[in-house]
Amino acid sequence: MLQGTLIIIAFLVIAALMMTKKIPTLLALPLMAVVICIIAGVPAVGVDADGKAIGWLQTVFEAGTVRMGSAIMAVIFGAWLGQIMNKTGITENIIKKSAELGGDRPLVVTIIMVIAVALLFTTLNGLGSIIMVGSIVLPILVSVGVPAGSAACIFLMAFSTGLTFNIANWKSFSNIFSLEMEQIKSFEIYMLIATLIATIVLIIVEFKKNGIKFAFSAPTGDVEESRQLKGVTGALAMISPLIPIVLVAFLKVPVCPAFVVGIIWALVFTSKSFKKSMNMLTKSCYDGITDAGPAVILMVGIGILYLAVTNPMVKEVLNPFLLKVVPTGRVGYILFFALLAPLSLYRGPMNLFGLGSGIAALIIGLGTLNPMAVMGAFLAAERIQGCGDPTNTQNVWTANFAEVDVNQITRKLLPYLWALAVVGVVISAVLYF
Amino acid sequence: MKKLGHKETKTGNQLLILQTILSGNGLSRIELAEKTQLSPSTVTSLTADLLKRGIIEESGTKIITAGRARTELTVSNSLGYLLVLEISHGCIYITTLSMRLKILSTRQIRIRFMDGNSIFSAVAKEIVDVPRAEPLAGIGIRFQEAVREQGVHVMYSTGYEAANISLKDALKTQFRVPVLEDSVAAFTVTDVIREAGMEKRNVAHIQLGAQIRTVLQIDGGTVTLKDHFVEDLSSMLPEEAPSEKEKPLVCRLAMLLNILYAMFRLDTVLIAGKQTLSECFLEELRGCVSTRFTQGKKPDIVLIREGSRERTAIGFAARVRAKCIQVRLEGAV
Repeated sequence: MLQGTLIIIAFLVIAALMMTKKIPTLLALPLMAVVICIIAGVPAVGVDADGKAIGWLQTVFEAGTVRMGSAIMAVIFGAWLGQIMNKTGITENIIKKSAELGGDRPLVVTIIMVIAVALLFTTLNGLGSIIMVGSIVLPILVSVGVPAGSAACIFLMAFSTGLTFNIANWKSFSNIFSLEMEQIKSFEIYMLIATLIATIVLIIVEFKKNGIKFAFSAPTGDVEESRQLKGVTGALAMISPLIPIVLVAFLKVPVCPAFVVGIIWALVFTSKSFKKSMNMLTKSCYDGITDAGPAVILMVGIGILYLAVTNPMVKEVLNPFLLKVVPTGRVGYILFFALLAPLSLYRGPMNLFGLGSGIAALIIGLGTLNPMAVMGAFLAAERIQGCGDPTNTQNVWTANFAEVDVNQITRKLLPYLWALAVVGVVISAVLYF
Repeated sequence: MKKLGHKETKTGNQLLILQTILSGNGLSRIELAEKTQLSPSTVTSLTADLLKRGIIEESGTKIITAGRARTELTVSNSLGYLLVLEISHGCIYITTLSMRLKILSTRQIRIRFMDGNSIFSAVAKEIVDVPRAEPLAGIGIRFQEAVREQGVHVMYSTGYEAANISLKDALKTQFRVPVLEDSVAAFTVTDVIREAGMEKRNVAHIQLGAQIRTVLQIDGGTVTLKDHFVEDLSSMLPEEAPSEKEKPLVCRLAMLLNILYAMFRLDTVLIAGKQTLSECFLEELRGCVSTRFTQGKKPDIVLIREGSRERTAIGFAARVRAKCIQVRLEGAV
């Protein structure tokens, strides 16, 4: 009992340190893991009767660093393709061609921009890509009369829509929940549709609220003509972001090979010379790893925390507490997770890229809830964190660029995102109970 | 074929007028109409809009000829100032220029550890600490090849989450101005051809460095050669003034020129490289070429020293300025 109380106090202290910016998330996760192990009495070094290592240095820290290995690789390969798309002008061309399609109808331009951004972020990752896409899309939205604050919210919702179908993220979730990618996909399809509907509702509400100030078409002149992709090869290059999704979601190809096919596809249809393509391949790989850096180190922490909370000695201590709190019935489940979904904000306990990963693992470990239901609840809450959390680099950058307060974006998006999370939890309850 | 809307046509014509103004040295409206093939009334209407938006201004030079006063139009200095950074190992050269490309100041900042955050802080300090009447309009970053290869990243942190972004993105985010980047070598090649007024001639520009890099300009267009005709001849490059060591390089160059001439009928060959390349080296190359080009015309071979930092900064600033003006017209950073 004392151990359980101490672990909860430690959890609260570390969460508070994280929320008050005293320690970064990448340090908080392994620190939490070590503290949990020490309190639960897991030895630092030791072997069981069979000679198998049981010490937390070996079974938690060392093993934890590679626990999310396949997800880390998926993020790196995805970032590699993202870099190639940015450097070859595919990203820029997709946005500009989409703006041209919209012509001089602001609502159509906005909706097409949302679709283009969503499509791009099924593959792109990292703040570099947000800057690349945002610095083109936001001025286009503003130029068709969307106020800067609304444009920032629409852009972030579009980003979040795409992120639902980001296969590198699927791989991460698959590792966190110990589920198959196919199971993640089966739920994310509903979240994709729901997020897209929420985005369209947001656009209609913002358009009605603000009115349309201008009715001319968005400027689409290319700044750098050399980066313009034309003809059949250009069109083929522009479907690059779809290649990995089609391969993974429909043809069951593993994630990394699917990204490699995407990389080759993008290179072949944008290639100017073999030598240049090879240079681009190398440089974009290094830059992709840089882009993926923050996610990689976070996943190392998630892996360590996962193994800490799933350690038998820790589970023994924490399970009595969790059994009292975690609901088992369908209605209780809906109420519990729908109400707690906003706790994914500010790196809270429902945040899968924070302490939430450990909590999800603990709840699954209890065995009282279907792992798919736990996945559904956390992925529903992840909607709020993905584009509503004012601590995200993408939120801060977008707010700065649009010259609005980052908390204003959260305030404006929270009703939509919370509703989305509730819908997600309800869908999960219907599907998995 | 895509139909252009009224606004797109207007923006396109205004860009054409601006490009003409930027390429000339003070042009009147009637001269602009002649050069752009637009009607004088269109030019008057479009320039009136540009004047109203403060993008151009009447320079005040009114030369009275037989008829009406001639009023020249130039880009407005009130648009802001430009910053050109040359980033090499351990040092940043900062050149500040007006929109009319007049150098306002130059500064050299030594940085012990060349990480992106240090560079970003130094540049930001320079922008914030030196008060100027006009706002910052645009930034150009020229990386020396070795620095560019490594990439320069700046950490963007929200306290909870952090990400690495490029120096270009960091500057664009912080100052909300267009930022262009290029490598010093790549920029110098096109700049030299443009400055030498050889746009319409068949020119080969051969850059000697760790590699030999060839860029061709044929009938006004750049021709990309397979692999840029890059060869690693570093071992043949002379370290000091002319010596016997130069001979193998001279022979290889003459052979390269022979091939290029057979394919492209070159008018001029510009050779650039280390300061140690001497006139003697040039004479030897010319001699070697003469023996190979026994029949017909042979190309002029000109040895060019790498441009001074200020001169190339002005050339690059012209590109930054063009981008700034385009952004001002179109609204996208």
